[in-house]
Amino acid sequence: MRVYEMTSKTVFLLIVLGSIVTIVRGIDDVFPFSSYSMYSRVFEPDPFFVQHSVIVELPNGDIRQLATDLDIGPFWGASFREALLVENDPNRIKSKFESAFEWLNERRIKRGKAPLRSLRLYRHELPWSEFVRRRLENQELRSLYVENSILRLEVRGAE
Amino acid sequence: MTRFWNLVLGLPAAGSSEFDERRESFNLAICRIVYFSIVFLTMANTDYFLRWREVPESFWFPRGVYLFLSSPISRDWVTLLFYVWQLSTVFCAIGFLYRWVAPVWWLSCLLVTTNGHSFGYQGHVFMPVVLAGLPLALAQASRVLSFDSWLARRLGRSPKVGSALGDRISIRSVQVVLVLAYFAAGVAKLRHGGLDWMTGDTLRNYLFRSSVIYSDTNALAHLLSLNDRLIRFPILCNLLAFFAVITEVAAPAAFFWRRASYIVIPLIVALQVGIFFTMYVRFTPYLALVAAWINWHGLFRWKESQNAQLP
Repeated sequence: MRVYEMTSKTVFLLIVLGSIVTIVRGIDDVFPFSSYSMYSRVFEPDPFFVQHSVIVELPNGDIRQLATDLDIGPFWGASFREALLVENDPNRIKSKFESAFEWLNERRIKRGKAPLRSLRLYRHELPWSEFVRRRLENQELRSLYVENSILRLEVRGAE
Repeated sequence: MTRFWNLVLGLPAAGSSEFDERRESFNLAICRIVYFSIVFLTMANTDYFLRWREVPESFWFPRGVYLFLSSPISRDWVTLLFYVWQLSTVFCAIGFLYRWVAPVWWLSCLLVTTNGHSFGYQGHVFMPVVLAGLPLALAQASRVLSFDSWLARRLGRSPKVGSALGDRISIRSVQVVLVLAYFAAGVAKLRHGGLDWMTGDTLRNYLFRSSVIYSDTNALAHLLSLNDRLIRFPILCNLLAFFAVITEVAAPAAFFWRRASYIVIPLIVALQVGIFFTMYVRFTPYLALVAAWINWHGLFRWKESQNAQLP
């Protein structure tokens, strides 16, 4: 019994002391094994909303935002973007982007689908007043990204 | 030192006679059943953590126990660990060979979930649940209401003598993880955002953006799109921001004062539900931690007394 009680007390102290140290020192990614700075920064993006978006060109030429319906699991749209841009190193981002394109197409081919034509990373700055909170259609996407955003990266498949 | 542990245990400084083994082992056993059932239903039941083995190696961005690995562990290892974790979660829920299986469960759980967080996307939902699993995995949580206790009775073995103190500390450890997770989130907001986080448009802007950022997740919450309604009322957004930060910062009060827990824990659950319907982040695994805040023994005793009053 003594061992059980000592173990329980040790684990309790480990949790509390570990958490206090990370909270006080502002360490986000060590204990308890996860970042806690969620939504903690002041978010005043006036006057522009700046965002990176990943756009795919489907085999028929339509363009879509990369999202779960394009079989990108275990990622989803935002988590893919976060993983892609987590390191601010253009070479790393490029390498990830190219391998992701290959990976997504391998998946599509396995499922009997035609491969994607291209994968693009756009950076767009949008006045908040023009921010649309709904899913955009092909033409709207084309207007927002292809015509009015900065193309940062593009990977194209064999024509 | 005794005063410190009495505080941790939620007892008066001079100790208390209300501390009894039957109650503690019952509470711990129910906590075990609920915790592992929720972990199974919300984490281990899908292939989410298994699918990280398919992600290209170039995305490798090691966290936690993998910090020293320059490349991901092999796919076969991920597969093996995942299925060990999945199966052991069920075993732990039913209390099957718990003493041996539970530590294996925790280790496999830690490795599988950390692997899922080592490709550049750091979620906030799973890891506190994993941490809370450590005290449970090392606790004697299968003395009652388990396959192990049933088997011991069938074989005519005398029931194991437990330790109410050890049981109580194990449950309190799970409780403290929940309050510290929220406390840390509150402190982070005050540290990085300060009062501006509550008085400015920060929450409103997060709500404004969330429909787009999370457009392809949690379809149920998108049916209501409560954030679209809330952003029309900036003052309401400020009030919600105050509510969120105060609830988070006050979370430790629940640990030290039982009466405070009756208010703070439901508020934390309300916060989780609110976040789901406005920011599209699902915190259902956290319900595994909420289980430790319920006095299951008291609840069953109350139910029994209600039944006894029936004619």
